[in-house]
Amino acid sequence: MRIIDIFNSTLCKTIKKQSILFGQNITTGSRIAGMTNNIENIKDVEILNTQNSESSLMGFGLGLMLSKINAYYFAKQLDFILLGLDHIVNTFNYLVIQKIKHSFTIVTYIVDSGYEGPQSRFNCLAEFASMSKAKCKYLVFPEDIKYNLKYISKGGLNIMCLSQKYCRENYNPKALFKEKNGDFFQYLSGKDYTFIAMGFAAYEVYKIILKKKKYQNIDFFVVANPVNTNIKFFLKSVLKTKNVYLFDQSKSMLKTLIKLENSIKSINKNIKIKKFYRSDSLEDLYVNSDEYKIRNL
Amino acid sequence: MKNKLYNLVLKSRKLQIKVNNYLINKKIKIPIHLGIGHEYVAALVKYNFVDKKDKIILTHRNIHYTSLFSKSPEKNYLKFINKNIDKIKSFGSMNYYEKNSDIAYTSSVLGNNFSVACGVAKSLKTKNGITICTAGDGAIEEGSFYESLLFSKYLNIPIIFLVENNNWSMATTIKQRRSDIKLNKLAASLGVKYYYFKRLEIRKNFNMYQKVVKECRKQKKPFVCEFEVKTEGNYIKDGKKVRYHHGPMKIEMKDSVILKNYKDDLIFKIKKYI
Repeated sequence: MRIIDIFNSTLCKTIKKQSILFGQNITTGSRIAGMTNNIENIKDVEILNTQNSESSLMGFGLGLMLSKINAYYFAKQLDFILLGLDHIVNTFNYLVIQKIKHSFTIVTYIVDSGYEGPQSRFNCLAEFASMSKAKCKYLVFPEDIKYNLKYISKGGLNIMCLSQKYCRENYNPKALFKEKNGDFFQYLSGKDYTFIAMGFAAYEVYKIILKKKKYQNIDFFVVANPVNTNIKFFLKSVLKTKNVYLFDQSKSMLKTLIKLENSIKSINKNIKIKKFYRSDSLEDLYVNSDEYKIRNL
Repeated sequence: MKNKLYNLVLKSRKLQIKVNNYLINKKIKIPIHLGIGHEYVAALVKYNFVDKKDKIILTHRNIHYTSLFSKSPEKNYLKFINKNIDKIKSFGSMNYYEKNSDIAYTSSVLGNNFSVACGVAKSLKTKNGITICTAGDGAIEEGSFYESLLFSKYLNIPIIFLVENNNWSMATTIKQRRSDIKLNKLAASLGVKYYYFKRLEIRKNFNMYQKVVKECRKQKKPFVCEFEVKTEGNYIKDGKKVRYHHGPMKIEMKDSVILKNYKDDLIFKIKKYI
């Protein structure tokens, strides 16, 4: 099954009764490229196909949450949510101290598909997570998608992101380890290398792993939480393999993996670290394929 | 009945005068936006409010409401003068929060509360409650006002957008900052009923607001109520009076509640009406 279909079928199964689902085009057209297919079949929920007012839709969702209603807002892409930053910061943090058990979940795509111009610059989930202290997650492979969609039931503000570029592709690696908060997942175990991929970088990395025999005996981690991941777990693997490859295809200035780099260096300077991050060039401002190229691997 | 309304107005005024004195003496450090002169509107809302069924959503200028909707308003404000205020778990005044009260949300950011109020109103639609969302003439300049008005009409939710028009946004009058907004026409364009409450028409306002609440409760639809208000008091800076109602206010009192030299102080007018 394609990533988007796994997401969609899991979503339909995990949504709680009496929830309110809303967003633009969620019951019309492509249903946000398949994100909200079949939601009419979910029992005992209310569905609202809404107007184009992202800021107010964010406030509306938080208003529902404080009224003890679980709410889901489906948005076309992460940069649309920028219009609701006020709510992510001011409104959400007003609710934090009240320890509300209900949830408001925003599901959206990160624009990484290319040919989108300036919107492509906002492949920056980490910044959202940092500003809001919301639970932000990359939804990558089927197993972490299933785990993190179930995690929503723990309440709070969740921002769940799919890749616009890769969501129609098929991947099905088996998770060997799932971090209890769904912050990272281990998909391979081995002695030769430690591969750590931030979010959607995992797709290109996994393709290489499948192609090259050299990388069959490795520890492969996929990080779902862009900022709050406990890096101690990775250090154990790093000390074992002494060969670390770090991957991040986001354009975020906040890089958890840099924190990991520094920790590794402070422990043992002889550990080999290779980094595959995006450059800070303005190249992505212009219309192009926005490809994450992993060279010399 | 009229006495009850008057007593609510008095209750709100008395607390504000007390808080203002603490602000003048610099005993309260946090910003508190006073609403002296706005008490009648808050009292009218409280008078027609069904406790535990209805919800109120406030803005940063909220003391005229919190003084009436809080379970223990005086206690809540007096804790702001505590020397150990840093240790008190409180949101302060602009983000006023009180557990288990009918104040569902308070926003410190202009226009932030409209859409949150829509969410709250949606939750009350099947429970026969209504939501009162307060705002000022500054907040309706925000795009979120239009968005929420449109959304509330689409959802048909029981909500009253209550606009207190005091002509000021910080130290700037409407004429100094924008062109006129014909709120009646804006509301009409979206199919939302609009009512204007002229400040000194106490009896008419009393009846009209009661009617709006009744309709809102029955029809489960949005309404816009614009109240003309006059925020009393001035802020003194470098010996000059500045028309900026943040607090502390320079206020001269005729007696414990009625302002000196304010012939049209609503408390005075309401007292006469009773």
